[in-house]
Amino acid sequence: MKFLFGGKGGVGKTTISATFALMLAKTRPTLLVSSDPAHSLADIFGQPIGSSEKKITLPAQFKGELRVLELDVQKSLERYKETTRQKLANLNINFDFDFDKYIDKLSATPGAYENALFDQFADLLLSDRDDRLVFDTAPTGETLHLIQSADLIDQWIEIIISAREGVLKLKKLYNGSADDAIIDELREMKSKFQGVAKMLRQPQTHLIFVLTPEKLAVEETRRSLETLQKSRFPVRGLIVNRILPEDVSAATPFLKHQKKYLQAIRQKWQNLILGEIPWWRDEPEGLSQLIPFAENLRRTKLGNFVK
Amino acid sequence: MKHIKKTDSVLRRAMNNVSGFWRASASETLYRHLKKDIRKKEDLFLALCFGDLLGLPIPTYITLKLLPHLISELPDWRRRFSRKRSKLWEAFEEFNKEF
Ligand SMILES: Nc1ncnc2c1ncn2[C@@H]1O[C@H](COP(=O)(O)OP(=O)(O)O)[C@@H](O)[C@H]1O
Ligand SMILES: [Mg+2]
Repeated sequence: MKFLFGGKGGVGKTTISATFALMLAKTRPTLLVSSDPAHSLADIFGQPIGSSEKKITLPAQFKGELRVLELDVQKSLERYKETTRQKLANLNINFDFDFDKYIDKLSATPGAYENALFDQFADLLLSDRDDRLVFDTAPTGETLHLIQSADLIDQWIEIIISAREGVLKLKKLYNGSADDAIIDELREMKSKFQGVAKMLRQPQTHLIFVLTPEKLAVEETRRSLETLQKSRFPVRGLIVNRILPEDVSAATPFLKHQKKYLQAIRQKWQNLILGEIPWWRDEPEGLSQLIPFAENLRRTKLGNFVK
Repeated sequence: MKHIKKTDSVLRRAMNNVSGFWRASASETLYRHLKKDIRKKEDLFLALCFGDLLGLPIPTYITLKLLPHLISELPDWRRRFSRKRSKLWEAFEEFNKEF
């Protein structure tokens, strides 16, 4: 099963997905992945985490296995650049075209970051590992954009595949060989895009949005739901986070606003709401906080996944 | 296109008639034709791969993914490029000037 948490910055994606992963880990090994370049999982678990999978040390009474991973897209782009350069250097030819500069230019485009993130995301999403996967800040922004442009990329891949096949057909007549690393790479790209698009539409994949009862969060959620609907990616539901209790002074204008947006959310997305999470008095950080905080999540429909 | 199809069918007939025939000296012409056609197709393929230099809106994803593979083919088409000034060659030179 795969869970992807999206939403505006600051609404509580990291808090919710980390807590949820912790909850899932009790019943089945779980991997929590963050794709936010400004990682905060280390803060939330109070343990150093890096770009390779790390097992979280859990309290003795807490049975379960939770592993965490913070994707480092920039690092993998640098590595790509380095190996590509190395290949070029190994050829040891004097080519008038400045490939170094070209590689630099290509990998500095916003698209390149998006692409590298997509690749890491896709590899995890499509791997046939049998633990549960929870994505913090999964494909709302960049990645989703890339998936939405999958159609366009798909068309280009198709064109280039047929151009390559044109070469190969004649080459085969020429020297009988049909092996080609390029056509393999192209077909792999194609199947990756199709695989991700398909996986996101599977019933065992849950795309969940976190929002707070605030104007900007509500608007961003509405926009995201619309785009996702257009590209026919089903959103499983919403978690409304950080709801102030009724007993704080009713005079605070903040509470008044919150009530307004909370009502709007309940009206508009009645069927999508998986649960509402109260404002936690302390910062939900560190395992000693997350474990009690998880009770809030257990009471929502997300709790059904650990029954 | 037409030219390639013609070579294709002529070649196939030749191969059907006498096996191993087409590498013989009599088939040198065919062989040369085929080589030329491959180059033409390769040029088209490369122009697409480096399409961004030619102003085609090809996604960087594809170029970045193919680049390491294309690099291993470089020695081959470098020779061709310097001999013949193609559109792609001009685009490469343009890029060099620009940056
Ligand atoms: N239910 C809650 N009650 C109180 N504070 C919360 C709650 N959920 C999240 N927070 C706090 O809000 C801040 C932003 O949460 P975070 O999970 O980092 O958001 P995001 O990942 O969406 O940017 C953090 O300081 C977090 O501790
Ligand atoms: Mg976060």
